[in-house]
Order: sequence, then structure tokens, then C-alpha cells
Amino acid sequence: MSARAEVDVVVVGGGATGAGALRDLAMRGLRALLVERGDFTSGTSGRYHGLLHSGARYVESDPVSARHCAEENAVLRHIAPATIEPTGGYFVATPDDPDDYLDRFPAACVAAGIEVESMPLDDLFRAEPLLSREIRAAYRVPDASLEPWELVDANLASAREYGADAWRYHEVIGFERSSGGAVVAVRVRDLHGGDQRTVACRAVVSAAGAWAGKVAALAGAQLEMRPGKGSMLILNRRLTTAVVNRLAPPGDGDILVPVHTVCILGTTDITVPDPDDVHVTRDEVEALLADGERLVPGISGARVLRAYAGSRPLYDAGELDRTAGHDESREISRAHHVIDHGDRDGVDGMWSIVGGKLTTYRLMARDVVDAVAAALGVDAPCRTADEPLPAPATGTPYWLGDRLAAHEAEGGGNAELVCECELVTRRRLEHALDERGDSTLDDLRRTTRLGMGPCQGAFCTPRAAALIDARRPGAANAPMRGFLAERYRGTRPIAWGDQLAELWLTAGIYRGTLAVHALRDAALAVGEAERAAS
Amino acid sequence: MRPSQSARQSVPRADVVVIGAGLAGLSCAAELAEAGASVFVAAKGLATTHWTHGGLDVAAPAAARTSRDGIARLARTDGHPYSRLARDADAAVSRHLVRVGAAGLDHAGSLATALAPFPTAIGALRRAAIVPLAQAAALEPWRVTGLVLVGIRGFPDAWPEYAARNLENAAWPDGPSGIRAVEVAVPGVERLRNVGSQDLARLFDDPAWRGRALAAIAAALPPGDWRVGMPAVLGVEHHAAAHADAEAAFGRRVFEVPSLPPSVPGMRLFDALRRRILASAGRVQIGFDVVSVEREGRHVIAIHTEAASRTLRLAANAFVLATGGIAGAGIRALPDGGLVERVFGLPVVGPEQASWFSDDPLMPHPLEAAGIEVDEQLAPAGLENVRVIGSALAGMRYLDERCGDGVALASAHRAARSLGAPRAVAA
Amino acid sequence: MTFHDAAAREFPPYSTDACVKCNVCTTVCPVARVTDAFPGPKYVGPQAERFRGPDVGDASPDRTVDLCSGCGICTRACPHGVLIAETNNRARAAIVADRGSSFRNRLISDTDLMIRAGTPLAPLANFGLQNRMARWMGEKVLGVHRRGPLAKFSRTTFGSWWRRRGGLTALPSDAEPSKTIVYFHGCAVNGFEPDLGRDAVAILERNGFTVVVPRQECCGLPFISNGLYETARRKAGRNLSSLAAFARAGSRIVGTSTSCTHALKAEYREMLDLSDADATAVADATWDICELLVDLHDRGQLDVGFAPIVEPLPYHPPCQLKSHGIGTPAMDLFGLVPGLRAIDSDHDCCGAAGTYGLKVERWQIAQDVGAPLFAKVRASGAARAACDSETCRWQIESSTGVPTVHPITILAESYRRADAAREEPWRRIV
Repeated sequence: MSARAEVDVVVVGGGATGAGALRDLAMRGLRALLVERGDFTSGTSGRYHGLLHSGARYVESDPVSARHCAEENAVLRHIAPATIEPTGGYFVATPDDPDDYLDRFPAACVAAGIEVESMPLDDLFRAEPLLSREIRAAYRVPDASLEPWELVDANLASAREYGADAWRYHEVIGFERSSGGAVVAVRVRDLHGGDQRTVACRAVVSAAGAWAGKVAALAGAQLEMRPGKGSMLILNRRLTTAVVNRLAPPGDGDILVPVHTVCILGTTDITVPDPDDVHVTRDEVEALLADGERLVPGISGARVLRAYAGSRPLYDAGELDRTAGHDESREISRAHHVIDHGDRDGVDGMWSIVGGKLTTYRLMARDVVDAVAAALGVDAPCRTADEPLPAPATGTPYWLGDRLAAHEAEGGGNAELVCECELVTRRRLEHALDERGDSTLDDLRRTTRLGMGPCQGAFCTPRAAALIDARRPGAANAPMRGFLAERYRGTRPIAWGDQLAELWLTAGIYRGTLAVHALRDAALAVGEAERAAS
Repeated sequence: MRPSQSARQSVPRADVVVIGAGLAGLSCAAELAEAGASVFVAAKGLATTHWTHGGLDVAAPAAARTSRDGIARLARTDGHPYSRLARDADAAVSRHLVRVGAAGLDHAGSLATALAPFPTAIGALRRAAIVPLAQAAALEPWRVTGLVLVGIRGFPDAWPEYAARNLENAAWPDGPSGIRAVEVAVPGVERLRNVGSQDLARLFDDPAWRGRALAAIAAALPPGDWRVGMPAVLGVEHHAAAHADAEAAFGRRVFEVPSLPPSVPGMRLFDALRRRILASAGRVQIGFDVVSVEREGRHVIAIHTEAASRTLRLAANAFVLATGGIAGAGIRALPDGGLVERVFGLPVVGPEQASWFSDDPLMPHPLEAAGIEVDEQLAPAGLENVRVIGSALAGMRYLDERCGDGVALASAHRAARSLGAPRAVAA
Repeated sequence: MTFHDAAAREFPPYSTDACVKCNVCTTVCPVARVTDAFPGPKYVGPQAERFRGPDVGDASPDRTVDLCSGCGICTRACPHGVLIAETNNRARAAIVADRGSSFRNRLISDTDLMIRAGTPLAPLANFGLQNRMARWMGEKVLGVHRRGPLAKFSRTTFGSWWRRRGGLTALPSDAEPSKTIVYFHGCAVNGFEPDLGRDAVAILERNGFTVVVPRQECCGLPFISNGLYETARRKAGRNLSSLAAFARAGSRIVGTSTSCTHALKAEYREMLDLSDADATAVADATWDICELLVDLHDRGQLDVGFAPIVEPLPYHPPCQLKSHGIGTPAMDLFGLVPGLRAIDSDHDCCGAAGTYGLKVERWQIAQDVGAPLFAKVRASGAARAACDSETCRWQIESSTGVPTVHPITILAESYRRADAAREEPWRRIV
């Protein structure tokens, strides 16, 4: 790669919105490049609960967002069916939930264009036997569960088909501006090689989400984001077949989303100063489980695999009435905003797209690309809702048994499996490494689900590390240790019962049999060297 | 099923019921049975034997030179099981080695053997001294001999090239003169749909298959003075023959490199101990989960294990709790930080929940030292005819100190002696 | 159903939450031991369970779980209490609900039907069972292996013998329930081994019990094993209706088949989800006959006047017996018979696993699983062997040539010898 490149538009941020913007730009004929400081989908898009919103959640608090979700829900089912499992969703009222909310709900859904159907309780409990029998009313809506990595990859693949490119592990370190203050180039650092590169451009779209403030500041623009930490718990198996929401103003553990082989209980909402510094606290875990008990009594006895958190890209557009004490993260609107930094900050040629939901990523992308295209004098229309995304996002909708059925059709067995929990074959990992040879184990996890099952990497980690070592001799220890640490980070807040027993077995393997702690290599920190090989 | 009524049903009474079939439980049962007591081992399932590397971790804290040295160092640690059990270690370990040797599982090394580096499947070094014969060649002086690590194509749990690269960087004083890796296409393996360690081990039990496999491996070895590190799959039932055949086929010393569970060396150890118990008229029942305890004051009369639609009552004069710690589910941690010992409900001492874990998953966790406190006889507070042995004991960090097996054996031996010669069956 | 800790973990699919992926279960699986086609209990049990939809009507992603024989040794070996074999069986039922079951499976599960058809024509039917041509055709047409261990039909059923004897079918009004026993004979005794039933009745009556044989039908276990839960539930429902009153009155229900008694004790609730008061009452009241006799002995109430039987006796505890969790009461009883040298086979599974070993595509697996057991039985030089489960007996006998009897056959014989010696004491001197 040369040290200097030139495109029309640089997109900063490789989550759903950035990938969607890249695709839209490319489809409208603009030369575009996306840069992402980590792996694609490693930001907020990769750290949420996988819900494809029907919009019903916002019908009372944020009707505009609700309508957007409803419309985009239908669009995504059209352009990327294989990333979506049509689980359906319920909104249920427990005894603690307010009557007025319940009463207004159906009409509010209709007003927002959301299909809503009253659900007889008998039918509800037959379909979902684990739900609390104290639930007093239920509605069915078209919520679904979504696979964000495949969605982002498909957008990037489409963008590449239209001539765009995307670099991961390239961090923006600065912008070059003209004497008039317009952005004329983006400077990035390759985090793997260390080289710096400059990309000349006519426009920059910052889709950096919760990090948009940091990116804007590099260009001399002021953008105050209010990252909202959302913590979630992953449970070992699906407790419900459909998404289940509480019919109440948003709370902590008020949604249960079945995603692949697990289900996710979420979500807290706490403003944090730094979107990179998110960890799940014990209080959050307790709050989530306590709330979860109202949906599924006894949920605290289910096996929790891990706890994790993401940072919502919340932007306070000045709507909160702080004098009235409204300063809660939950109260910030989920609407999206296109911010023209030329108008606002004198930084011409730079736009930030903030707020929003993953469900509305395509709409967010369209809105910001509309603004950019207009400024660049391009009048091609947006076609991202019409043209399906390329395979594997096309095809039939996802179903839970898909991976097992495919494996069984070839005779089953564990010979080919690296990750047995999630049925990830060696071939699949080799293919992923063929495509992106510099992948860490965590990167492989995102695209294949390696290590995301009950053993949380206990068995697959060294096997996968050996695959990396075969391609990049001597470079596997750091990803291996990093993966063990990352899996541990998510286990620690919920380390009791079954998952603690798993952690102890894991410790026995890595510190007992394999002695990973005693590995010596160039990357070994000084502190580790002092720990004698035992 | 949770029974709605308990029914009394008992087998002929035993002198001692041992709860748990890990190294500690089986060793205690074997010693009691060998002394003529009638012993019944009731275990919920199989666990730690099948998860560990099959060598004997007696004591290898940081500066120890030999296991005996290690025991002495750990014995000086306040509250460590060795502070009480150190004097039982010699007898316990030698009895164990004689016992498993008689069952066909000979070992090399003793408490006086210098702890030496053992190459692990990932290419790190851990310290060992007492190992089954099939692992002994790893610890013998290397001089100018090299090491060839062998992988079998299709077997997912050996990573010879990765390990060899890591071992090049290891600080291995007086280690091999060179390290190589070969991955061998053993005929038939790549067609298999299931290639777990137990699957391969059973194939190696078959002399015809073994012959072809060893010939293929031998053909892939480089010429010269090497020792061969093989995956730990050299047979289960015919392990000694498989190991001997391998050395004959290669013309070199061969040692097994243990890897991920299930552990075939551990399976052999379990089988050997179980055979010894049965040979001494003891009984070993797996799938016996204790659901309740009958006690009168400080005396346990009987335990009840879960049976179909009722419980099975096992009465005995004494009971040995060998259910292990958290990994083997002898102790369960609750969300609120409570630690529960699942059979007798004995109090578990351990750190506060906020201090359970270290920040680094590769460092010892303070919670590892949690366990049951006992007196000199290994009896817990409040129960006079119960003995607690093995990793359920408080005060050790068995991974970091590599002392789990030694404590298991020493406590098993102490408990067996403390329960004395067989007494008359209780009326 | 809520998810509360204790109760939830006894529902097999929820018990899979406890799995730590250690593969101990796979190391003890007899089927995985002998065939590469079966990936082992961890794979088809707790691992595959996460990919299965909760509804029995959902499309089933499974195939290899069908190789599981249901022996249950995996469940015994799991240190964390995962109900693996039970989960596997439910997955099989889901396959059946999704893709249907074969005529062959339905036929060989329906022992009542086979007995109704076979016993009137017993000589002819038995000829067919022995005839090579007929067996070859059976294999080609039906999928029952030509050497699958099928027992010979009896000319008269146990049920008809009991009726001719004028045996009780209901509780007499003056009955003392605790001294009354309901005999659940099962298909094997009814259609193939009525002598065993006669021995059971004799032993029970000798020890002071009044025996009642009420209306009953096949316990349904073959249907459960083959995933045909709907048919199994119908049979179970009828059995429970017939038996529950006796259980509630305080009588025990005793069986000579460890398979039938396990179905009554556990599988009606665990597998068929029949958990009403009837099912619970019957489960609590059900006893294996050896279990009962040992309990009597414990209370000093067993007639221990066993005459010597001096012979070696290889004994194989069936897998279903292990699932009972009661140890090996037969061995304890054998210890009361002077001169009897009973040896526990110490082998995991004979391979039969009910109807599994009859199937043309499973027969070889079943033979390979049982091979070490067969070798031990042959090597013992014993004239006969013993086992509490009928399909195991037929498998052992078929594969070794050594006649294999129920343990109580030995006990009944010992009692008879004792009686004979008393009546004609001079014979002992000769």
C-alpha cells in the first residue's frame, strides 16, 4: 500500500452505519474508503443484543424513531434475509408495569405503522412456557434477531463490488485542512505495521458512533457525545423462542433476545465519560437478573455465560430539560442526527452521523450520504433499500438448527471441529484467515462464533492459535493470551455456579496441563518473566 | 427424579463410604480395602482424573528443587494442608506408586527426584518429577539428544510446530540439543469422523492398527539422536504394550505429551485404582449422587443417594468426603458469594466475593484456596466420623503450587489410617 | 414450569446448562467406543441441544443422535448432573415428530401386538424365528437383522395362565395393602418367559405376599426408546389408570424387568412428562423384585432358607438397572445362596439396548459393544448366566450360546431344592 491515496470520501468507523454509508456512497458512484481502528463490527454494532427492532419499543417515548425502525425492519428483511432470524417479538405487561402505558400501546403502534396483534395469554404461555404467569397482557410485534457481523460484512462486500475499499486496524490520527478550513485529507496509522498513511479526500463521513466526539476533535470540530453504556448478560440457551419486551418505559433487564444458540438479557443504560472504558459491574448484573426474574421466574438459576457492555452513540441535541432533573441516559432520544461540521464548526467537508439504532443504520447512512452527495454535486438516488446485499446475506432466513443440520448432513462428528460448542470447523477458520490473514482470535470470533459457547474458548483457543501460528509463525501467543483474557473479562462478573466450574476447568487446562502462563516469547512483559515457570 | 418419599433400601453395610472418585477418594478407598475394611465408593460422576495430565503433582512451588523440598516449603505456609500432612507424604506416595504399579501403571521418579522441565503441548515448560513411565523420557537428562514432537494429521489436540517454536524460546537449561516437529498422516485417521484422544487411544489398543500407525510415524522421523514426544494416545487397555511398541518401532525413547481433556493418562490412572479397589472386594459406583444425610449429633449414620423415584440408603461407620472443589462440583459458588459444600453442608472458608479473582486469568485466584477446615484427624468441625480429603481442603493453591495430587494422596493416607482397622459392622 | 434451580435441572434439556464440555461422557460411551459413526454423548447431547428448537414440532437438525442406544452410562458418569441420555432420547422423539418413524420401528416396539399375533401360532412363529430363510427375508423386508436376538413365543401367555389359575386381578376387600403386591409382568414374561413370572409369584407368595395381577399392557418403553412418544403416552396412561389405585392403597408394584420398572419409576415422568398424581403414586410404589427382596432381608423378613446351588454364575447388571441407582441387589441375594459363585461381569453394556440390537443397521454395533462381555461369559465355563433384563438375556444367550436366566430363576430354584430336601430328607444322604 502506498503512503498516499486519494478518494472522494473517507468514511471513519467500520460499524453498521459506516459500512452502510460506504455502500451507499459507492453505489452512487463516489470513490470511497472506510477506515476502522479495530476489527469491523468491533464497536457498538458488535456489542449490542442483536435486536432487529419492530419499533414498538419507542412508540410512546420516541414515535419518530419508532416509525423509522418499522420501515427499516421491512427493508432489511428484503435486502439481507439470511442475517435475520424472524423470531417475532412480544410486549408483555407484568403486574409492575403501568396501566396507562399498556392502554396506549396498541394505538401508538398503529400510529407508527407497526403491525401489532393482541396475544391471548393461553397462547402466549403455550408458546413460551418459561414466561411468568403473572403477565397480564401481551402483544405480538415483528421484532426479530439480527446477526450484525454478517450484515456489516455484506455491506462492505457490496461496497467493494462497487469499487470502494475498507481498511481495518487503521486508526485516524489527524486531518489535513485547507487554509479555508476544509478537510482535504485524513491521516491514519496502520496499527499492525505502524506505518502512517494519508488519504486525500473531498469529504469525510464520521460514522464513529460513540467515538464521534473524539474523531471530530481531531478535525477541530466540537461534538459532545454522551456515550450510554449498555450492559447485557448472555445466557447459555434460549429461554424463549421470540424476543420478549416489557410493556413499560425502558428499564434494565426488560428485554430478552434469542440470538443464535444463546439468549441475551439486557440492557442497562449509564452515561460513561469514555466509550472505551466499559466494564460490567456487579450491581448491573444483579439489576439485570432481578428485572429478568419478572419475565422468566428463576432466571437467576440459568447458566449465564458472560457479561458484556457496549457504548451507545447517544447525542444530546439539547432536548433534555436538565432543569427539571431530566439528565438520564435513557431519556436521550434515539433519533439520529446528521451534523454538518461546515455549518457548525467551520470544518467544511466533514459530516458526523450520530444517534440512531442499528436497525436504522441504512437510513442513517442514506441521510448522511444525501448530504455529502448534495455537497459534492452528485445527484444519483439512493438504491440501498432496493438492491439486496450480496451472499451470504441473501438466501433464506436464518434458523437455529442451521449449523448443526449442515454439519450432520456431512456425517457429523468432531474431527473437523475446532470450536465444538458452536460447531466451527477448521475449514471455516482457514477460510476466514485466507480472507484476513492478520486476524486475531477475537477477530475470528466475530465472524465465526469461535469461543462463544459454554466453554468460552477453553477447548478451541489453542487449536485456533495453532492455525494462526501455521500462517504467521511466532505470532500466535499474543492473540492466544489476548483471547483468554478477553473471554475472562466477560466471565468474571458472572463467575458463580456452572460458569465458575467451567472457569476452574479452564484454569486447570491452561495453568495446569499446558502451563500457558509460563510461555516465553518476545512479547512477554517484564512482570510475567518474574513469574517462575512452575 | 426428586422422590416424593424416601424409601429405605440398603446394600450390605460398609465400614466406610467414600464419597467421590478422584485421586483422593480412590486412594483412600484402596488403602482401606487393602487393610481389610469393606469400602463403598459412591461418586456422582467421573471428573478430575479424566481432566488432568496424569503425572503426579506432589509439590512444586517456585524455589523447590525436589518434591520433598517443595512439601517442606509449603508446610511452612500457614494453613496449608501440608503443614499438617507433610509427614504422611512419603508413605502416601510410595504406597500409591506400588498400588498403581501392581495394576500395570508403573511410574518413574520419587520425592527425592529433582524437579525438571516437562514440555507441554503448547510448548511451555512445567516442572515435574514423578510421572507414569510413558512420560518418563521427557524428564531424563537430554545431553546431546534432540526432541521431535509428533502430531497426527486429523488429531486436533497436538500442535507440534507451534509447540516447537515456543520451546525454542523457553528457558530450558540442559534441554534438548534441537527441537523439531513432524505432522504425520497415519493411515485411516483422516477418514475418521471422530478423532478425540479417547478414539485414537482405542485404535492404538489394536495391535494391527498400532503397527501400521507406528510404521508411518517412524518413517516420518528424521534420522539422528532424538527423543519422540507423542500425543498422549498410546492405548488405554494395552497401554504398556503400545508404549513399548512405539519405542521399538522408532528405535528411540518415546514420551507422551498430555493435552486437552479427556485425559487418556488420567483414564488409565482411574482404571488402575478402580481395579485395585475391586480386587480388594471394595465397590465403586458411579452415578451415585448424595441427596441427603442422616445424622445424630456429631455422628453421621447414613447418606442417601439419588435413585429412581426414591433414595438409596448407604449406612456405614465412617464417611470420607472426597468430592473435590469447585471444578468437580464438590463446592458450588452462589451468585451472592456463598460457597456451599454439597454433601454435608460443611462451612467453606474462603475470601470475600469481591476478592475472589485476580485480574489476570493466568495468575492464581484467591478463591482457589477456599475449602473445608479440618482437625489433625482430617475431621471437620461437628462431625466425628467424617474425614475430608483432597482438593476440598482449604489452604492450598493447587495449580500454582502443583500440590493437588500430593495433598490428595497424603490426606487419603492419613484418613485411611485415622479410620483404623476394620471394625465390626454397626448394628 | 419455572426455571428454579433444583426442579429445572431435572428437566433433561435444562440440565444441559451444567455441561462443562469435558467429554468424560464420551470416554464411557459404549457405542462411541465401537463405531466412528457416533460422535458421542457430549456432541449429540448437551452440545447439539443448543441448536434445537424447543418445540417438538420444529424441524430437527439431528441425524447422528439416532445412534445413541439409550444405555444411560453417560448420565451416570457426568460429574455435573447433565441428563445426557434423556436429552438424546428427546431429540430422537423430535426427529420422529419431524421426519416420522419407520414401519419397522413401530412394529418391533409393539410387543403386545407381536405377542397377540405370535402366541396363538407359537410353533409356527417360532419356526419362522429359527428359519434362516424367514429371518433373511425379515432382514430384507423389515430391517430386523437375521441374527437379531428374538425370543421364542410361549404357547400360552402369563396372563392367560394367571386367569386359569384364578389369580386375583383386584384388591380383595380384606386385603392388607402392605402385604399385597401388584405384579407388573411386562411383555417378556407375558409372551416369552411365563416361567419367570411363575417363579416370581412363587417367591412372593412364599414370603407372605398376596399377589394381584391387574389389567396391564406393555410399559411402552420400546416406544419411548424409539421416540414414539404419543403411542407411549397412551400405553402409559392406561397402565397408570390401572395401577394407581393400588399404589395409593399402599401396595407395592413389583416387576421382574428392570426396563419395565424403570419406565414406571422414572421414564413416564422424565421422558413423557406425565407428572400427575397417578404417575407419582405409581413411581413411588414401584420396586424391582431383587430390590424388594433385599429390602425384606434388611428387615429380617426374607425367607433365607436357600438350598445350595454350587456353580459359577456370571451375572451382568443391565444398563436399566444402573439407571435405577440401587446398586446390584441380585448380587446381594446371590450371596445368600450357599455355594453359588456369582461374578459381576463388570462390563458396561451388553449392546442389546432393547430394540436397538435387532435393527439391521445397528446389530453389528450391538455385537461389538457386548463382545468383551460375551468373551467373559464364555470363558467362565459356566452352564448359565444371569441378568435382570430380558433383551439383555436374549442378547447374551444368542451371542454366547450360554443360557441366561433372571436372578430370581436361580432363587426360585434354590427354594424348590430346599423344599424338596425337606420333603424327602433321605435323598440328601444318598
